[in-house]
Amino acid sequence: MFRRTRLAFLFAGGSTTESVPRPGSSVHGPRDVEPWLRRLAELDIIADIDGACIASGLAPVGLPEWQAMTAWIDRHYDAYDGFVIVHQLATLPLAASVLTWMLTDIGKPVVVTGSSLLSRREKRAGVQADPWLVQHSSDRAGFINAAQVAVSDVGEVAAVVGNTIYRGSALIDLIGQPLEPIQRGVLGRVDFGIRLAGQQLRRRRRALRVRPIFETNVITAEYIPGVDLTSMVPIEPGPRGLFVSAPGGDMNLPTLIGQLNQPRIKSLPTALYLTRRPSIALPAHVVVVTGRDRSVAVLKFMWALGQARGGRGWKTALRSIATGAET
Amino acid sequence: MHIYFYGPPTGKRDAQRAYRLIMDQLRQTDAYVSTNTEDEAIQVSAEVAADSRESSVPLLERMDSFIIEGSTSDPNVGFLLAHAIAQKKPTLYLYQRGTVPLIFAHLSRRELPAHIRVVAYQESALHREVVSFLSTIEGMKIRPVPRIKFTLRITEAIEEYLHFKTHNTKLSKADFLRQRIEEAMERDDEWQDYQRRRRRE
Repeated sequence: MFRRTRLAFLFAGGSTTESVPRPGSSVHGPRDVEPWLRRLAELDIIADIDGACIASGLAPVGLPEWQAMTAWIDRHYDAYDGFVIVHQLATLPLAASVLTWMLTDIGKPVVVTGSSLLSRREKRAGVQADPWLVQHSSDRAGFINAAQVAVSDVGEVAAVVGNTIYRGSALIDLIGQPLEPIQRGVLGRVDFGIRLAGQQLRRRRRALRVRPIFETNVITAEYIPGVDLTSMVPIEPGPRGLFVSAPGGDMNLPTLIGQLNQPRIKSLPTALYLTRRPSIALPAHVVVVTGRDRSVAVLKFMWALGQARGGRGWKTALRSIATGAET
Repeated sequence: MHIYFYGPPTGKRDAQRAYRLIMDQLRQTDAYVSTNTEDEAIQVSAEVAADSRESSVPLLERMDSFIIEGSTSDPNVGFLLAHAIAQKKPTLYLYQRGTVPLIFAHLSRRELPAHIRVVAYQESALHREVVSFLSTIEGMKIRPVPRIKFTLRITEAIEEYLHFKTHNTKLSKADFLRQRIEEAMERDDEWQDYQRRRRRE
């Protein structure tokens, strides 16, 4: 017997479909969900859709909301064939990366997308977004594209921006970059249909394992030559990790490594954010993190520490996440 | 004017004939016609192509109109129809008489907006359905096929002129003359007024 595909739409801002405020033009609370779905009745052609409001989108959407999304997906995983996350554009690229790590073993599509339009309430709240994302995102059409990807043979976190389907963890690195016809981190394109490039992880039956824990008690510091790093690290309450950015490349490293070997820092898991891998050896408690976006690197470190829960497994966890552009 | 015609991939001869009939009719228009049915031919204006590249808006969203052959269950049919509804683009949804498209299990005909025309067709009447739909689209020009034989004696000077205007072009002398006459008809206010009065009657 034919079984209709079921999708869940989770809302956290980025839902506005019309500039003129009307019932159902945006979702800022649970009561807006049904009117929104009725207004986009054409989605019913693609799948049966249920909706849930995770956040209003009137404040920056971040870690608590992403954890709420993964908890929702975990509770309802078996009931749906795919999930669409309607997300505020401002932090959508971060969300796509973070959700990828938290839903590492997922075998169904989780598609992140967002509208370029802002509701009146969002404008009043000062919600903004990366201009590139605004230029390249669709409104109503984008939700249809996302739904179509969510019923296709994709078994991972993906992001739909404009006519491109990105691996979730790759979006942050590829934003604003000219794309090659065949590009790592690009799962496919939308033209007159969804065209997957064949790089995607396919749907597969597996028990979902959600990894939502982040260790947020982390000191983030920028190394400035001549400034003692230990002055930035409080004794009590002691942080669980240290994240250091080091502009200036290899030139600053010898002095910096000296500082990282000081007793108070030596015991701390430390992530060193560099623009490229260094040519000199680093202390055992230090792992290099690279990537275009510093915020992603910080979150990656916090997630790795969360997986280890104070143990040593944080390095393995950190190395286990390559960005989508690197896979 | 950009039209997209989608026909689900099929090995059935009757469906393939229907696709050819539809494409033959679409070629009579002055529209840019894209389709998946003929080696995925994509035909868009240079302006639309450039704009789509720069803004990363899918070509799909640049289409002015859609024709969808939806007799069989195909995921792309629903996708395109959803886009046509969302973008409020005039759409002709065709299905073979005697079949019941799966789409109507999710959306009844009454729920479809007015700009989506749903037609159960028989092959013999297919071209009329397509022409009828195309004639409702604003800005669409359909070139009727010339069927009336008309003999015209011309002078050498006229013959030389026709040769001068059509030599080394793809235009035949007959086509050139038909175009000039059609242009004159467009510019002739008296004729246009007459046509308007006739349509009102």
